[in-house]
Amino acid sequence: MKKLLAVVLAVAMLLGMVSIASAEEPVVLKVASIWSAETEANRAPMLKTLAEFEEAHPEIKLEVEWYEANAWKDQGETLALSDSLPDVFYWNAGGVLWNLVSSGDILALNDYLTDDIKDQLIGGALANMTFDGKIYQLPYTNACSCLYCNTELFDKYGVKIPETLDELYAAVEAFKAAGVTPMALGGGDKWPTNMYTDLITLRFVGDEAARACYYKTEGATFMTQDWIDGMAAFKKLIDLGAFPDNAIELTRDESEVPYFNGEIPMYVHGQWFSGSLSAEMQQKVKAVKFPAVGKGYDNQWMGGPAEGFSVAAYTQHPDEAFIACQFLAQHQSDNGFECGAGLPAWKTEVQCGNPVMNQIAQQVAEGDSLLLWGNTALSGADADLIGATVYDVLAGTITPEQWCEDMETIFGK
Amino acid sequence: MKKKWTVGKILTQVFLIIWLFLCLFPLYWMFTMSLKDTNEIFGQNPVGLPTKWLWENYASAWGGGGRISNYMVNSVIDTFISLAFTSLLGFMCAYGLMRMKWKGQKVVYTYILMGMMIPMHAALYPLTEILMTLTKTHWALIIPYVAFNIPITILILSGFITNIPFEMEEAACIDGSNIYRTAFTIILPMMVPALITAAIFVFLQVWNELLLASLFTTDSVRTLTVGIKQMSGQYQTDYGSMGAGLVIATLPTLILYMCMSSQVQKSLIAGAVKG
Amino acid sequence: MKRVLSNKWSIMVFVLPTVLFFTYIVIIPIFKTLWYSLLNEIPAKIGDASHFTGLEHYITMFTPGRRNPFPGAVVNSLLYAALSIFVQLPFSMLIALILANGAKGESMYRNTFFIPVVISSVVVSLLWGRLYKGLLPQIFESLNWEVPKNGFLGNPQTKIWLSFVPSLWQYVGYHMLLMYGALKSIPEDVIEAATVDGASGAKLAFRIQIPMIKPMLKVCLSFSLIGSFKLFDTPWVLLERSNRDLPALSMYVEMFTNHNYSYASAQAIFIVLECLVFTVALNILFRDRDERNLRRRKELT
Repeated sequence: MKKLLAVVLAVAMLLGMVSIASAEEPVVLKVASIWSAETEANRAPMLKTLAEFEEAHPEIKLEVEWYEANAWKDQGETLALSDSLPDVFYWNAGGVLWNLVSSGDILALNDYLTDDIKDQLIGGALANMTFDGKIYQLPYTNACSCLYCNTELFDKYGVKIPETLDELYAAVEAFKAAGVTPMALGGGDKWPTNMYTDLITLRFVGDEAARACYYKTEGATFMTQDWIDGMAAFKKLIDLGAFPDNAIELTRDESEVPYFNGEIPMYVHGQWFSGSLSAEMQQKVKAVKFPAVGKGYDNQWMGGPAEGFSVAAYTQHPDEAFIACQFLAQHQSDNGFECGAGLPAWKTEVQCGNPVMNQIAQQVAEGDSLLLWGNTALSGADADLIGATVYDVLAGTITPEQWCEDMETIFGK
Repeated sequence: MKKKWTVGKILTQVFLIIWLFLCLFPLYWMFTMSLKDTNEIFGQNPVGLPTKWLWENYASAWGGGGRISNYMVNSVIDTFISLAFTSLLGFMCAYGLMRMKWKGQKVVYTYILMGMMIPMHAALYPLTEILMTLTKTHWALIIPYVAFNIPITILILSGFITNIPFEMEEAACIDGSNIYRTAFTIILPMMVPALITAAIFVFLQVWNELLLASLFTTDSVRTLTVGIKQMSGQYQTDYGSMGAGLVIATLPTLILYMCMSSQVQKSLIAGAVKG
Repeated sequence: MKRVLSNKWSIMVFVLPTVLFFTYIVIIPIFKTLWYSLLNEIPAKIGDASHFTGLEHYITMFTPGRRNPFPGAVVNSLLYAALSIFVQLPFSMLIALILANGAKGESMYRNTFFIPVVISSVVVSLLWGRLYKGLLPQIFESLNWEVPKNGFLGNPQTKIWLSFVPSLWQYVGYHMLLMYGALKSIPEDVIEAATVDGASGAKLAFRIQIPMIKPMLKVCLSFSLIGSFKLFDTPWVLLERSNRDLPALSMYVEMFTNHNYSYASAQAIFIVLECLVFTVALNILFRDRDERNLRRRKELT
């Protein structure tokens, strides 16, 4: 009898230990993040976010794998093909997200997104991450593009910061005459050129027509005079010599070096560029809305929340993955804004120390609308095409009309 | 007999010196680039000696953002393991194909050699299907590297092995050793020159490989070639450190080559002549 | 002993693992690529909508159109092959001949000329990139020469040719060394006999030395040809993002940027075919000559 009691006690203890052990076993989630380089503006905030998560959620352990942004794009797609994406991962929104959603790799988060959580997001935050009413990503940053003006150079040469397109042309000519390259452009990477063309064409075409094209809705077309005028306006910038002559062979990084050195006064680029400016430059640079054209679309912006964190559809721990996904998105939004790496996508009381970023945040909050860039809304071959075609316009091998013809092919000839 | 300096000889030397300069200039340039800061590289002083010797560029390339040290270790691991397996499998297969007697020897030999005409890129997508689950490990690269370098290895080893007289096996047989012992303890040591030759060919292929390495590695197993390419995107304002990274990446192979240059050259020639 | 050497089990142990491994990693994937190239798109991407379409992708590949760079890419790869065969190899031969015939500083030159080969091709590409974008324009400007419009690597006329230069430059030493070795292994007495007969310099080279190293030339030619069609590393680093002006680049973009896996597979198969065709052509070319030489020698004796 005593022996039986001893055995029962031992078994009970064992079971108890096992259950305690398993209860204390943290859930391990695999996470993929970009910003593997020390120089990335978002890396420090992300490390802070991860530390905050560790403190707030000891029951969930995150195994983070860091990648370089372009490399992750390629690898993520390939992992998706064999259904081996990590539990929580960084991804772009728009067409790039749709790629994975349509092949069933992403978990829809609707069930987890209570109204309470949704209220904490800024207006329209989920527009580019929702397909058929289902939400597939939570944004950590809002994006937009604007014109960065080095006021020191403008003052030195007595040029006015342009508010209309004509003033922009005048500024370009004035700088050119003084022997200064007016605008920076990394044509070799193609998407920096899209930064320019998307904004210019937006001023001519309007966000409704542009949205229809980039989202390939019924009846959308590139073959309108507005599109041609928009691309012609870009061509005029090229012909006036706004960009370095070899802009087309420069990578984005190479093209920004003269800007950082105070040699080039103007640059159209995303809001993240404000985070790349040195403290000294931040005092000199003024971020302004892209110049007006007068067709009624002048307070429209390119951008919108276009990056965030998604959850893999085949994750073993969907509940925990959602907690991680939401925490990472929200806290990265705060931390990133605080140190000037990006604009917040979640409502926040945090202030940013970067004056340029604050200028942008202020202006975009007063904007009429935000439209996702063509090369993010489109996907696959279409996204490649819009990069290749603007490359050709920059090289001078196709005309604005031909650009429209080539882009029209995305609708299936 | 004194060698006279004819016009022809002078022109020849000039020609050789020009090509020598063209071969070495990039090295000199890379070294000076690594010690300058970005402004010098881009504008004021691209070619000359650095005005200030910024040795700290090396620190930032090695540790900090560069992670060159990790990538180099990975490259070394991948290359050596690939070499080991290629040599082992290549030797065993070459032995079986050339020393043993069976029907179908020629067919299998030709079959494997046809593989030399197939570049790795051509099988890229199906390879991703097989290897994608292994990307966190070194095997994702080692497996294709070994497989695609087996044909050239077998080509080189077979060339050598046919020159070894069959008396070796006969003697061993009389001594009572089995075929495995004969192959590994008698024939293999005689093959060392050939193995070195094959190893050099394979080394040049594997160490430098870029395409598969960029697709099948995660950061922890990333190799040097991918790391260097990444560097060009990471060092936004710091081209000097990128230069330092390039120097660090190149130095080991250069040093290895200079120590072994005569051996490398002899083997390369011998291998190609016999093959 | 014959029994030992024909023992089926040991043969299998020696040969089978390698053959199986090779088949699984090299041969089967190639056939899979071939199969994928004959579908409209792979099942992993579009599930049941995947079906057999035969040679449709191959026809699309070569349908001319402003947005189809593949025919141009094939032409570029042939250009590279031509440059390699008619410029790089003769140049390597010239250096090999000079050194093999005993120029001053022979071994020093030989050692140094091989150095580019051991440098990583990524390093080579990045260095040449800085050269094309930074140093060369400055040199041109100081000499008052005109820089091509859009820069060396941006100008559509020059950028492809210039992206070839780094890899051509890099491997001169490789071919040179192989040819040098072959030249050095020509028996001394043959050279002496020819010199006595009055042959020297060019005549010696063309009549005696080059013909005698034909096997090595064949090796160099096949390395060169196959390398030309699969050229990827250097142009990838030098040219703009998603450039499709070479077959391997085009295949990569189609696969990883455009996600047209079947179409990319068709391009991959085409590259393999190019290699096969030219290797066979090379073999035929050299076999004819060998047979003709054999016949000629028989006639002389």
